[in-house]
Formats: sequence, structure tokens, C-alpha cells
Amino acid sequence: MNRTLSFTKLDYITIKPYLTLKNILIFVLVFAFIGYGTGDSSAMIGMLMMYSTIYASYPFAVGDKNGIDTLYATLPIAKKNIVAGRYIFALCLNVCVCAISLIASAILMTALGKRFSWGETLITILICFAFFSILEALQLPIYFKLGYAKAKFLAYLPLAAFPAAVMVISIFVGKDSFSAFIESMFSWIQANDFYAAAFIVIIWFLIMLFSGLLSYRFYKKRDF
Amino acid sequence: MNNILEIKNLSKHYEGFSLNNISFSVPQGYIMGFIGPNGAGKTTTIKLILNMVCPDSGEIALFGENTTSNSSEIKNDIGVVMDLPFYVEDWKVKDVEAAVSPFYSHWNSNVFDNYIHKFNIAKNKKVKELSRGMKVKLMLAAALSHDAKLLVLDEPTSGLDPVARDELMDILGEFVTDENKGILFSTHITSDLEKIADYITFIIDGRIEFTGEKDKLLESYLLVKGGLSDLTTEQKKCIVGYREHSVGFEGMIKTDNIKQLPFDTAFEKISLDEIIIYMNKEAKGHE
Repeated sequence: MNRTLSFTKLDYITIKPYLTLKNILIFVLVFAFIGYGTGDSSAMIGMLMMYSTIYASYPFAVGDKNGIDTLYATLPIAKKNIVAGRYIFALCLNVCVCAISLIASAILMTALGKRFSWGETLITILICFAFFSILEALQLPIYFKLGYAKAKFLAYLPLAAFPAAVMVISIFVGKDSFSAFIESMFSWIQANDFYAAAFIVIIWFLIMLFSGLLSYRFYKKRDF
Repeated sequence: MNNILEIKNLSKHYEGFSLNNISFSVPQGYIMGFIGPNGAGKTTTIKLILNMVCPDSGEIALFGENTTSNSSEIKNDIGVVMDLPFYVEDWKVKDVEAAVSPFYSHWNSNVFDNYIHKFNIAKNKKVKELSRGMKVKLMLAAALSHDAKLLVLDEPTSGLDPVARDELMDILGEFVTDENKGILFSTHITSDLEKIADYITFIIDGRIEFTGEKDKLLESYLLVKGGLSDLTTEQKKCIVGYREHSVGFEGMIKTDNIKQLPFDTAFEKISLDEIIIYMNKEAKGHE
């Protein structure tokens, strides 16, 4: 097996003991509760993707607790493969959670007798996937540089920074101008859906690439 | 004789500690004991060998290849046992194999199973449920299951009972019966090395005090004891770790210097433990 994929598997084995029935039951109950309360699948999907982001940081957390970087140092694997393997792990986790979200939304909304649209749900999932994977792309370099214990506070700053940035921009450019800009952006996206999708995919890919290179740069220099 | 590991002028500086230009090598087919007091630089050296920290200067060659050029591939041929277990505490023993085996091109599950069976480790037990000795044995089982040519052991015997230590010595002795293999064995329990090591590298305060054949080291020094009035100041200077007590003095002397002491001075054979103690005393005395 390719060593990068072997590392992705190692990450899965690392968090496997914590994917307990109890945890999964909590997710299901919270998911059902939000679905029942809001009658809308978007909030449920957002919540599940948030859990996915938390689980993506688990290999760092478990590794910090168990000194697992020493294990990595003994294995025949280059640091670039470790970084790539962890990014693949985080993305695979997101894809799995997306698939679970889609199926669970369909089941729950049908069970609750609410309106369910496969197309709309899929678009919501793709937007959530893009948002949360970009959040992870901002977090992972911080974890690679500082380790989990030192980075856990900083790593959640991007989540708070996003609404803060929106607020600051709207204050600077004026609320009306900002709303007009957002509306025109959405109009453009609706009118040019293919180009908009291509643009988003390219931006997403570039963010992932830059994040991966930054993580490698940090991890290469880290002493254990 | 080919060297399996060769270290040349290796340096690493930290605040409050420096590894200074150390050089030594581990020949194929032999066990190199790596000894020194706590904080002497043994673990730092091992971390440098494993690329866990970057050296400030110097070279490390494993199997004739520079480690910086191809360090990840080289690790296929290295088995590592550290003083602290590096597996996730919540892993089961079978998870350990599942996690590490895909990385090695010569992993042999039968060999791993045999060692697990030999060491009486239950495959369904979690790592955290194993005793310290069992954890060391688990690391050893993994280190011996991928046809490693070099074993790097960092204080594996500390915390093990005498029976477990004796078993470990037997396994290590068996490992080097293959003349293409070698062991770097860092420990401060020198009685283990007196049994099995062929060579000794002695490190103190980040510098190599001795590297060579164990028997030569043991022949190079003698334990010396005598009465208080026996020695002149010049003679005292010949004694390493010179210490006076109520009835006399004691210390260690180089065999070449014994003629400088009075003829009635008592000399005794010295152990590796005593060499470390007196060298350490001497180093502290000069601080």
C-alpha cells in the first residue's frame, strides 16, 4: 500500500477507539433533535460537519497524549507523506460525513413528514463541505506547527474570525453596500453557475494546496 | 569490518545542553552499549539518528548511506524500542500490527505472532492494560518483525524485572548471531551490557569520553583505594573522581598511571557502573 494511504489508515486506527457506540448515539440524538426542532436539514448537516471537523483534529489530540510522533519517527515514512496522509484522512472523514448527512436527512425528514429535496440538500452539503474543509485547511497548519495542546485554542479562531471579518467589512464599506455586493455576487453565481462552480473548486483546491505546503514546512522543522 | 551506523562530528545545541562533535560507529554483527549518566545526551543522539531532531552539524550514515538523503527508506531496516511506549494507549495489540505493518516492505505477521505468543501478550488486550515490561516486549516484537538490520534501543530495560531483562538479553544475543545485523543499546543499567555488549560508547555532558571495545575500556581503568596520608597532590591528580572519606580515599585510575601511585595502594577490577560514577564525579568536579 502506498505510504501516504497507509498513514491515512494509521490515522483511522488512531481515532477508531474513540468512535464508540455511545458517541455515535449522541450524534444521532442531537441530529434528530435539531431536525425535529428546526424542520430543516441545513442545521443538522452543519452540526454533523462541525463534528467532522472536531474528529479531524483527533489524531493530533490522541497523538499528543500518547507521544505518537515518536512512532512516526520510527516508521519508514517521509514527513511529506505524513502531512499528505493526514489531509486525505480529514477529507475522507468529511466525505463520509457528507454521505451520512445526506442519507440521515432523507430518512429523518421523511419520517417527520417534512419536505425533502435531494437537489437542495446536496447543494447544502457541498457548501458545508467547502466551508468546513476550508476551516480545516486553516486549522491543520496550526496543529502541525504547535501540536494539539498548544494549538487547540488558536485552531478555532478562524471559526470566530469569519463572522468577525464579515462584520468589520460591512462596517467599513457600509451595510447597504455590503448587502448589495453579496446580492450581486449571488446573482452572478445564479447566472453563471458553471463558471461559479469552477471558480469555487479552483479556489478550494488552491487553499488546500497552500495549506498542505504550509503544514509540511512547519512539520519538517519540528523537533520531537 | 563494515559499520552499520556511523556518526561523525555530530552537534546539537539546546539552551543549557549541547551535544559536542560526537563521533562513533556500530560495526556489523556486534552490540554497541551506549552508556552515560542521565542527561548525558544518549536520547538526543538517538533522536538525531532517527531524524526526530535536526542536527546543527555533522553526519549520520546508516548502512553506508547518509540519513538526510534517504532517511525514510532507511528506516525499513531499523527496529526501535524506546524507554516510553509510543503506541496509542487505547489500541489493542492487534491494532498495533494493523497500524505499523503496512509501512514495512518486509513485515512478517508470523514472526510478530510468534513473539506475541512467546511474550505471553494477549492480542485483544489494550496497550494501557499491559505492564511496563509487556509494553517494552510489544515494541520489541514489532521491532523484530520486519527483518531490521539495526536495533536502536533507548533504555529498554529500565523498569523491567531481572527475569524480563535476562530474556531480553537472550533475544538480543540471538539477533546479532546474524553478522549483518547490529544493535545500539542505550542504557544506564550497565550490568546488562557487561553480559552482552562487544563495544561501548561512553558519553558524558554531551561529549564522547570513550568509544571502543568493552574489554579495552574495562582494562583501561582500575579502582583504587588507600589511606589518607598515602598520596601527594600530583598523585591525586592522576585519580579520576578522587574522593576522601574518614579512613582513606577512593577513585579510579587509568591503568597506564598506576606506577605513579605508592606500591602499597590497593587496585581492584572496575565495573562499567563504577566507570560511569567516577567519570561523572570527575566531570562534576571540574564544573
